[in-house]
Amino acid sequence: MLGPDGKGRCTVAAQSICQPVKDGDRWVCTRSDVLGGACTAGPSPTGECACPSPEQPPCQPVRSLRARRTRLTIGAGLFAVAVLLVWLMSPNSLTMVSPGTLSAAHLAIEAPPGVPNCQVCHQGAESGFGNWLSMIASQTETHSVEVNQQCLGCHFSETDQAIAMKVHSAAELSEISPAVEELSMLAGPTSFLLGLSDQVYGEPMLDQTQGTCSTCHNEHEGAAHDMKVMSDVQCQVCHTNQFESFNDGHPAFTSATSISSGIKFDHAKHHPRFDDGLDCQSCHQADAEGKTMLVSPFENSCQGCHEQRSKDHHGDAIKKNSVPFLQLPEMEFEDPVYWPAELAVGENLAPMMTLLLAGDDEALPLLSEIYDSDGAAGDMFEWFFILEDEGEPEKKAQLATAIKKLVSELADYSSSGEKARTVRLSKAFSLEATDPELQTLQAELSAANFVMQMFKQRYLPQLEDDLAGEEVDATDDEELTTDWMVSKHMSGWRVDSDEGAISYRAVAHSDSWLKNWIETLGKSQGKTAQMTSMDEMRAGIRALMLDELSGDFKSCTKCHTVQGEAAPWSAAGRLYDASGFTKFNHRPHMAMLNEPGNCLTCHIPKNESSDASIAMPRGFLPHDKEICSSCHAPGKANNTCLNCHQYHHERP
Amino acid sequence: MLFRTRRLLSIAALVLVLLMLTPYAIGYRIAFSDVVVTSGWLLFAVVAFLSSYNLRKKLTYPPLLKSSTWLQMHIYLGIAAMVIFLFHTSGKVPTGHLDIALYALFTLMVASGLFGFYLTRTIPTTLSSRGNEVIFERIPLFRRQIKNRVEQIILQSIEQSASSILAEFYKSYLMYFLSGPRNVLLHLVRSERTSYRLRHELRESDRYLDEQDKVLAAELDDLIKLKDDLDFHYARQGLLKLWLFFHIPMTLVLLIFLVAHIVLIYAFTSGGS
Amino acid sequence: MVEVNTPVRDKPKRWDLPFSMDFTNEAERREMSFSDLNDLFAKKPFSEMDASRFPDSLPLASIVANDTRIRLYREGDAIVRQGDYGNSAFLILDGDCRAIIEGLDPAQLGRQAGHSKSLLKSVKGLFTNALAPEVRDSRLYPQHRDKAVFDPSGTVFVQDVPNILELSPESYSEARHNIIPEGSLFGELAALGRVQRSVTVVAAGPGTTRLLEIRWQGLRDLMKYDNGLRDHINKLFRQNGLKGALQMSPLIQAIDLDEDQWDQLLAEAEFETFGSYDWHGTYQQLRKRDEDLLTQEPVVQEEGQYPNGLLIIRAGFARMSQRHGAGEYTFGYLGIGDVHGLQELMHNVSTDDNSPIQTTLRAAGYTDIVRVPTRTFEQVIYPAMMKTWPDGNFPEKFLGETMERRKREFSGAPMMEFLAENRYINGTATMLIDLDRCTRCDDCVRACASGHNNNPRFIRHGKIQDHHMIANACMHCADPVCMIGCPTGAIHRSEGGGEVVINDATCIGCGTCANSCPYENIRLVNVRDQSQDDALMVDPVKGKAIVKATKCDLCVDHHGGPACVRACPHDALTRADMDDLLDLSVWLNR
Repeated sequence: MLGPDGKGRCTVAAQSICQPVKDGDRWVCTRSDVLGGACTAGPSPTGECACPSPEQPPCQPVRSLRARRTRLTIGAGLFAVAVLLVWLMSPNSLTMVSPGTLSAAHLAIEAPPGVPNCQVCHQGAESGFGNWLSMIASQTETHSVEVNQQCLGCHFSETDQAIAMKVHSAAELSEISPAVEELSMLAGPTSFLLGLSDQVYGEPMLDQTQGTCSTCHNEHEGAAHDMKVMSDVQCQVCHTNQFESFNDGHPAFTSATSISSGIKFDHAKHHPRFDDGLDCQSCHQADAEGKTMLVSPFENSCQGCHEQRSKDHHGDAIKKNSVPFLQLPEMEFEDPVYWPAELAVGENLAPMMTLLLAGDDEALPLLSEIYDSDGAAGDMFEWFFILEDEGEPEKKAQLATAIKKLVSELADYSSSGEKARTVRLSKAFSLEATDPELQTLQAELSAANFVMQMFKQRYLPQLEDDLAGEEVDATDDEELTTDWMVSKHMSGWRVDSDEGAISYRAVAHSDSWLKNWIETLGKSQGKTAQMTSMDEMRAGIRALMLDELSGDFKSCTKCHTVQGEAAPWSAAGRLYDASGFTKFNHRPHMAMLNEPGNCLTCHIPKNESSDASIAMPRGFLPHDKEICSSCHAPGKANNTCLNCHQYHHERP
Repeated sequence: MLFRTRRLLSIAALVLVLLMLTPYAIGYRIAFSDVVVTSGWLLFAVVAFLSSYNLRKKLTYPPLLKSSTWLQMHIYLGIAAMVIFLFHTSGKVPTGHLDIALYALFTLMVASGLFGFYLTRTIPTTLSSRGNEVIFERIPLFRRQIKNRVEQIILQSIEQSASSILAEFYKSYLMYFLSGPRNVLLHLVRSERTSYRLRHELRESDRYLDEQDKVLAAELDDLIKLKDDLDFHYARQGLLKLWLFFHIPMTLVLLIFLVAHIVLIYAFTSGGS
Repeated sequence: MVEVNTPVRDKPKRWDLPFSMDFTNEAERREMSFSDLNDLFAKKPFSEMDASRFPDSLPLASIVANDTRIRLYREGDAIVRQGDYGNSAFLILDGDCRAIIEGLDPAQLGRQAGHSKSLLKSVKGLFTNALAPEVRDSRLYPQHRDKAVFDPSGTVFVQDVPNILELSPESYSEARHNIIPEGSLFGELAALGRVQRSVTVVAAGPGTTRLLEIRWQGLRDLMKYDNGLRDHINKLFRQNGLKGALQMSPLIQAIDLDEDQWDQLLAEAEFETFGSYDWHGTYQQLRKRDEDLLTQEPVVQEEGQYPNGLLIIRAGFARMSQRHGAGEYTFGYLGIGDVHGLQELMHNVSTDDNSPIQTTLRAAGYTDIVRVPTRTFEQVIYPAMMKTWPDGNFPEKFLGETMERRKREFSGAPMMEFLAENRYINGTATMLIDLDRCTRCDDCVRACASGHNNNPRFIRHGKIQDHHMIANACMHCADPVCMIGCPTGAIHRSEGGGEVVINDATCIGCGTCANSCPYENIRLVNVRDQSQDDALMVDPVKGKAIVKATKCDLCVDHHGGPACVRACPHDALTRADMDDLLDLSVWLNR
């Protein structure tokens, strides 16, 4: 009645159910009433229980359903563990564990021999569950950095890796284009989904150094998966100027996004100068791929009107656009100094000469004094007065010596002259002697030796003797001077025999003398580290001279923008990152023009009715977004963000 | 409270909670957040709680809320787990062997759970309205009793009458019918086909029987009905017990695979980012 | 002159086993002897009884011979225990008794200690359950087992009665007590009124105390035919029991009666008994015969009669029904404290009408009624009610049971009929299983077993009404017939919640309770010894296996209430108090 016990024994059969008790002469059955009471037969005469112990054959207890279920559960669990062990400990485990095939490009990555492929990116991914367990124990923070490094190692150059994880992979966004950054961060209308996301996840992370490549690019999604595809809303998480789509809410294009450095060319001004107006294609041709429109070289497009030759009929007498190079200043000395008294008539030091003088350590303090803004401020006569006041007339002689030394070096043909000039230039521009720009400039100076020689012969014939320390009498010069003539070696150079000056005029477009000066000056601008006091003085002087020189370089800067270090002589086109990382391919669009070659479809020149308050460099209105969005709309051409914009500053 | 009230309140609470979670699930794709890790741990916590129901059933004495409360939580959290699972997988089937296995296991768990829920709410009413119910473990006992009684009747029939109609009937149909649980699948869909045909056969043979046999045949008819009811109970009570033979072992397997999954995630990424 | 063993015409069946032979312990059985009877008739009250008033079928001498027995107690033996249900009264023949009012440890009376296990123990128990059925730790069992105690004359003393003097002499002497002198009658209230013994009565000696134990049938018959005894007992009841009985009615509790009103009420109230005291025996017989119980139940008040008073149920149950078609429609039942006829009476008093009773009241098995006559009602109860609720808004619960209320609360006469027929109305913790929700998972049984050393105390089996089953689990009845006659007091009501529990240590397995229970909810089991590798425990003297009675104890010694309810996953199981039909109908109609 009570069933088997918990150990599987039949409770009825397990024990005897009656222990006969003697009552007088008889034995009595003592079976419990619960089990049926005293049996009818009774015990045997000897006192043993004679009942067939159970009435029925003993049962074979079987496990209950629930017990069987428990066994099944345990069995299933063990089976699962076994399967997992086989999967995860086998040599094939990495295949089993992989969450999906790699994208096609990465499938080709091979690992070094003996190393499983997974380990190229997942360090410590050698097969073996034991390994993986220990991976959890080890730090996971640096692990992510390590994995990330694998991506950067292939996709970014060494220098770029440091900034790869910054926003847009650009060093400093604000420097690239403050206007663009401002535009993109205007608080604008948000779509519902973005608003929701903002509410739920909070402000977007602008400093993306917390992110990793895998934040946006997901691997293991199959060979055909394009990891570069992003949705529009993903861009707008950070760009607070959020809008629905290109056609609905995208800010209008402004000229601020079309900044470029390059040729200053006002199309509107040039337009009336041609009989039929400007023909775009006469100057603009597409590049080999058709993406960008290049400007034809100077020879093909500008030279027709803008030709600068010294061979014009006015000859050397034209002083316009010439840059003063060297002039001996007028100085009076108390003690006799070898100086051409009548022929040295310069009132101020020419900027170029000043720069070259700054390369002389001895002359530098003098120059500082001369150009001290609280003192002479560049005025020689002022300086002379100060010297008299101060009682330092000998400085004039020092200056004279420095100038003479300069002339001597400039006129020196030999290699020692080259060296001296190199040293002087290197100091003057705070550049390394091995700097290519410097060396080019030096070469130019070397090429002008002949002119310097002439100068020396004319004005300071006994210069070498004087510099050697011998007594020289200036009156002897008259005998020693020679007349000289302009020869073709001196193209560009002009020597004014009455003025005691050498000046230079650009020979032709892309004159090498001026070009080198501009490039070298540009390169010397950025040096601010580790300056000695001398270097600082020189930098000060350079800064002053630069102002004056920019006027002298007018013939170049009329069309070319000289901006700091960059001296782009070519028409560089649009600056990619300054324009909000947009990319544009001309060729497919040219094919769509209503009239072939009608650039004016999109590039609209300004006219009288244009709003003058809008910035319009080069004479074109900012592009009208309507033109673009008429085709780039839902149902027509692609209008996603990534269609026109690129995230990474440099395409990895 | 009424069951209806409780159900409405629970569904409302569930919908509310899921609605609150939905923005996180939708918004993450935009916000580049590691929500897949959060949803993963949430799912794990829910699954762990669901699995602990079996443990609660064993701990009967500490008053840890009634088992029926736990079942309600189990049902609604199970549905929530389904939705959180969809969030976690972004509604896509994964690639990769282990992930597919896990996906399949989870789906099977949910499916078996829903199926079991359906069974527990539909089978009991059919059992109580059928009548003649006995405790499942005692069914073999009653089956044997019926068989013995039928054999007695047939023997009696053989002894007392000249014809062997009933004996033939017994040999052709009844012997098989009475020797074990029969028509399990038919009873699961509540078909009466076999018992109807048996009894019909018996009634049709009535015209060939003499008076004494007719009495016995009447009793046979009752016994066939009894056996049929017994089979009905066997099939349906059995199914009520059997579905758990799938649901519970599967839980353990799922948990084991889950542990492997978590270990691997942490080994191969830094916590899923 | 008294004649013993005179053949009596149509003698009562119970006399086949005279009371003096009705002992489970053979050593105590002895027939009433001639000299015993003579001695008895020499004493009061028998000496004052007129034998001629007794019918031939029930002669006085035969009643005494068959319905009484002489018992001997040593000093300190407990005769009755407080809290027991008993069915006999005692007349002190020799010696005195002490009625100990308080100061006794329940354990001395054979009760369980009455503490509940700590949470830790409950949990620990889950893991240390025995693997064999009904395993006991024999060290917990008291050592004195079946030691026969004989006095020099060879008379046997009662053995299973605790001797307070031995157990704790301080309690015996210091406990607050009253002396019941020789010649007194005590215990009649419990015997006739189905209430618990109010005090523990201990034999005080000196020496041997001799008592005459009269079983209730004998007492009832004596009372019927002897005015003196009847008046005496009625007077005792009116003095001691009536007020308590009246105060069990919520209505009487609510209205404020002053002393005069109480006096009048107590003086004029009448009490009647309907049905049979051992209704459970009758019930079992009737069920076997498959008769319609309703027709066998005695009528207390019939529909259509004029109300002759307010009826208050003092004990037992009464069925309420109305004529419906050719039969009777049972729509409710009354228990202790309920009133019948209130609405009709109130209507009659306030409108000076004379409307009859609307519903028939029958004794469901057995019922004791206190009747407040109509005049007393008019003069005492009604004014008090009007004073308590001047605006006439009587709280529903005091209006007693009306058909409208029952109909409204409770759907389905079938269920009501079913409950009343099977006397399930007795239960305060009836186990109801909703078969439409039960998945037959047996979690309830498993949970019960886990708290009782792997022995479930109920079975998932019982009578079914529509889709509800009343399972065979102890109902902890309001009228616990199982408790009547337990020789050791092992079965008792627990202190806190009134659950009926069996103290395993003191149970001797006589089977009285199991046989009495009308619902077969008590099981006798063979116990196994833990220290003997779970072998059956055997009484060394007799060689018979030791038997104990077991039943559901509502998990009194665990926290959190009955485990079965907590373990059902589908809200299919409940322990219902049949007195609270509102809750029950809510549960049935979920």
